[in-house]
Amino acid sequence: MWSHQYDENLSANPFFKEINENHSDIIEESAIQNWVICVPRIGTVEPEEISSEVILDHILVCPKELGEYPFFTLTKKRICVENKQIITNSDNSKAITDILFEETFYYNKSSKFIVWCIDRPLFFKHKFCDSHSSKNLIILHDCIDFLWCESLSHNILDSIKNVVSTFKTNYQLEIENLQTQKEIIGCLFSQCLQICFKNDVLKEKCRLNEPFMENLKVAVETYMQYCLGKRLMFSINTISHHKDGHLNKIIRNSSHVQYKHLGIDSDFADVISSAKNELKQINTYWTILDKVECLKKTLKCILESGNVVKNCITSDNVLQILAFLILKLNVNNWYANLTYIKEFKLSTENSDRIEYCIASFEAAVEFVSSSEFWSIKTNTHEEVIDFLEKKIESGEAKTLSVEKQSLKNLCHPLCSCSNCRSISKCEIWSDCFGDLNECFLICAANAGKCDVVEYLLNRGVNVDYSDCSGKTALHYAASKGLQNVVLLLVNKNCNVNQLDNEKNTPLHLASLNGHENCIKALIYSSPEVDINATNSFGDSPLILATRWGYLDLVKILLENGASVSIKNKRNQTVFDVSPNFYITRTCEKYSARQLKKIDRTTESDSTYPTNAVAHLKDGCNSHGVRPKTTEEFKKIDLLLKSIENNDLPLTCFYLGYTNTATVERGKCHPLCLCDQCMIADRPDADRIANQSINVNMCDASGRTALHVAAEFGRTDILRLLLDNGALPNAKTFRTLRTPLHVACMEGRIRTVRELLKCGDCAVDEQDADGNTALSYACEKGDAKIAEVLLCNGADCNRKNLAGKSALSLSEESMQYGIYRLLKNNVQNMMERNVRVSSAEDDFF
Amino acid sequence: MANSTNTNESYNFKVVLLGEGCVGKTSLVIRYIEDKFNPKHISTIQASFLTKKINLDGSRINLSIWDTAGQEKFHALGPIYYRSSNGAVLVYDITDEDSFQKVKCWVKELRKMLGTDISLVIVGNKSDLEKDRHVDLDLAKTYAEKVKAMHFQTSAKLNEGVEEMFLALAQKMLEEAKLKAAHEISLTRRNSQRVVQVVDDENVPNTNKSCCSNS
Repeated sequence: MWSHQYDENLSANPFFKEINENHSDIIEESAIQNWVICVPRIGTVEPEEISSEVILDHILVCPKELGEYPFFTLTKKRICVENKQIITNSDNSKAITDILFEETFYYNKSSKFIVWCIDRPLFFKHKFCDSHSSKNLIILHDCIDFLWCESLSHNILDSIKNVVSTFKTNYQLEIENLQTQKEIIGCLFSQCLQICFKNDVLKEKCRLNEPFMENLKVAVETYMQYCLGKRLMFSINTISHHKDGHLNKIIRNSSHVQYKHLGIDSDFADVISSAKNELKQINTYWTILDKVECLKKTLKCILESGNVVKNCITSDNVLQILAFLILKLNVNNWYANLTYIKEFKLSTENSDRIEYCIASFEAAVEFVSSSEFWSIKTNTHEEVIDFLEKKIESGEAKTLSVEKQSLKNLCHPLCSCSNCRSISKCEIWSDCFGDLNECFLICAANAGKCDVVEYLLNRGVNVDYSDCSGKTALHYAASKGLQNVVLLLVNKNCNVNQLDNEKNTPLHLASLNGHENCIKALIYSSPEVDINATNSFGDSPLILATRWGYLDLVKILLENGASVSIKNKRNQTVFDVSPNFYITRTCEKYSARQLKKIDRTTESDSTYPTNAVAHLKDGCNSHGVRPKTTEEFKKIDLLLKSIENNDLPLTCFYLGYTNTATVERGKCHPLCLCDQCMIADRPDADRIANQSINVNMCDASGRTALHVAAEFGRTDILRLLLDNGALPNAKTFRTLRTPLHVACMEGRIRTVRELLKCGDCAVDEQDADGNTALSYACEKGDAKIAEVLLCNGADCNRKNLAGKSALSLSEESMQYGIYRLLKNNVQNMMERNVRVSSAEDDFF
Repeated sequence: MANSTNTNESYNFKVVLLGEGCVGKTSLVIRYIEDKFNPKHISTIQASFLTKKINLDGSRINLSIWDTAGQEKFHALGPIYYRSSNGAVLVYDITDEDSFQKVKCWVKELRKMLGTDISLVIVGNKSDLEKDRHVDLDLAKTYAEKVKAMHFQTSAKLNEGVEEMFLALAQKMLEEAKLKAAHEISLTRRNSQRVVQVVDDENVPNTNKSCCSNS
């Protein structure tokens, strides 16, 4: 019943008209006797063939008692009706005729009769070759065939392809909102249709035949969508990335949901697996037609399962099964798919059947992302945990090895009281894991019971124990998003890069399931986390987070040095798996930075500069030290702010140049929440003092503390920084400016003097534009700075990228005072130690 | 003889079935769709989406009957199912007072979301269990009148009142549709549909001009 439905207006059917007009007695009798009138579909019976005999052949009588052949015609011929087919048996030849539809006619208030429209007349000798099914365009292939055959050339297909590819290069569809995208695609569609109407053959056919026109529209639309391909889906993903990201987190974290949680009968197992096979292909299609067909097939699988489960399928069943399928399939863009199907259908209206199909999926997706779904309780380890907690509370579990014995202590072998149930559960667990204590640890970590985990660890349970799937407690905690447990385990020095059987690190699992909190916990609390680890599929955590559309996670991973160039075993980089524009853009941004930084990172990563003095040897080409964690990012921002505000004590504090003794005090236990421990936890307290910032730490654009001090002329701080080993020639990332450049640009003469005093300052350093400090001084017309620079041996002939030296710059900007100064300087090149003060007297 | 079979009007109506879990929505619709004098020839294996063609004095009506999920956890998904429907069948169990309260909730929700565009029929099912009746018939009827809905008593088990109920609903929807159409014509307002305009590019006749005719 889910295939295309034949329909015709019976009152226009000559056979029915004949009965209606000349045999009204039959109709009246049918209404009384419950006869069924069969009407062959229009076009199968010639008007001259319709005789009384033939008509009587088509009136079916149902006798009172039901037998093998429950129906007779009025001519006493026996027929059988099964599965919407009429089986006739005349002259020993079996003929099967489809019932196309049933229509109930009501007239004169209370009377009714039933008409079956059938595929061909009954008991006719001659063959009917033509099937009723007119050409239906079901999938992409039909559409291409249609366009190809009807236009008798390849031109149409080629021209549509060309139009679409020009469109693809000219429009940036992904940055538009839904309405605009729809309009743009609508325009493209009419453009493609125009191409078809330029073809004379097609134009003529459209004029004669309206259904043809409809088919043509569908075909063109579908082929257009095929040509747009991934691009259109990518744009729609971008619109719905937020909703999809949210849904994906739910999907990823519901891997443990089973039939029973959703109320699905286990009889449906086969149905579900075949429906799954249909549905998983949804993202291999690019056109609405194919996607809808995929949904229809899936739904058909479910609806027809009534035979298997011996029960009528209701909407409740459908929803439960669809929700289950959505959870179990690796489809990462349900909302985008539904938006596409619902909003981008341009040619024909959907039939009610398709509408129902779409609505069912919509409802299932809505249900999965709703709070109702979250309230389904699925914790399977609760009993074991309860048991453990009770034991711990009562102090019974002083030595855990005793517990093994206690398992034997059931009330009686089949007792099912709550205590015995949990004991027997534990036993099952211990069988699986071999070692009971470790299995408890994993169990507790999985359930998020910090206190139990800590209790077990304090009693020497192996923190890195891995179960049969190779997962440790940290794997479980990370994949479930239990930040507290993760922190606790990391604190207990567990291996943060432990691999499970698929070579996933805990970071992989946290990325896969979208747990921002765990990723932060892992990255920040443990420096040895391998952020670019690849699992057995070659996927890095970044690729996993990208695939599921977790924008926030992608940002965190990139900030912490995840590489965008890693390829997985399918040879895909993040750019290939990126589902939407936002993620692609974010990755691109970082990719550009990473390329620029390559030299620097190889340099500074190998020798993590805890001591700034070590860096002085790197010479003039070095940048500041990039912060590794967001914690450090925050700190450097605070530091730069304090310098800007000329707050010397605070700056000292941030840099750790304080004399206030920091009391080394451990916490009661790692997750203690008592007041004292909370204070110790405060980020602005002694922790900062303990881990002071490297003096050469820079912010995102590469500005170090020294740059800021130079920019705002904070000479005292500047001196302090220089005394503490700040690099005088640190460069910003993009502009490649040294503090000296910045000071000259801002006209801070005292700062310039201070910088030059330190001895290592490279006075002729050129920035990204090739300008030296002197060039900026000249441009600004600051004669005093220029003078100081010249005094320190600045070269006024060094040319910038535009080919201009400081000399020509000052001439251009009509700073003649400086020009003369420079000119003079050039003349006095030979005798450099001339007294500058005398020159000053000459000019001012 | 059926009169006025010449009219060609054809309507598609969407009917949504609403009601609590076990009030018998499914059996109601199966009873309606299934051929009553021979259950063998159509095997109804699902009741979530069914269609029925009827012809009311020449007007062809295609009913699409959408069953909705009855479980409480699916309640919030209602709008996805009932949006743009022409009629709603609100089923309660006459032996279950709660199910009638639930119907009241649905009525409120439907009127709020769809206004008077939707024709409602309130159905007290399981009338064969008259002895266990917990919902007062008169009360239900008065309520239905108050909210401008029809009221029917049915028994899917005994096949009582089912066809009448759907027929009355179809008639009501037909009237509404005709009224609406008449209204629209009087306003001469047409729904703005996406129309693809065919522009006939005039072919410029290719006259063979030769520039050097008198060579």
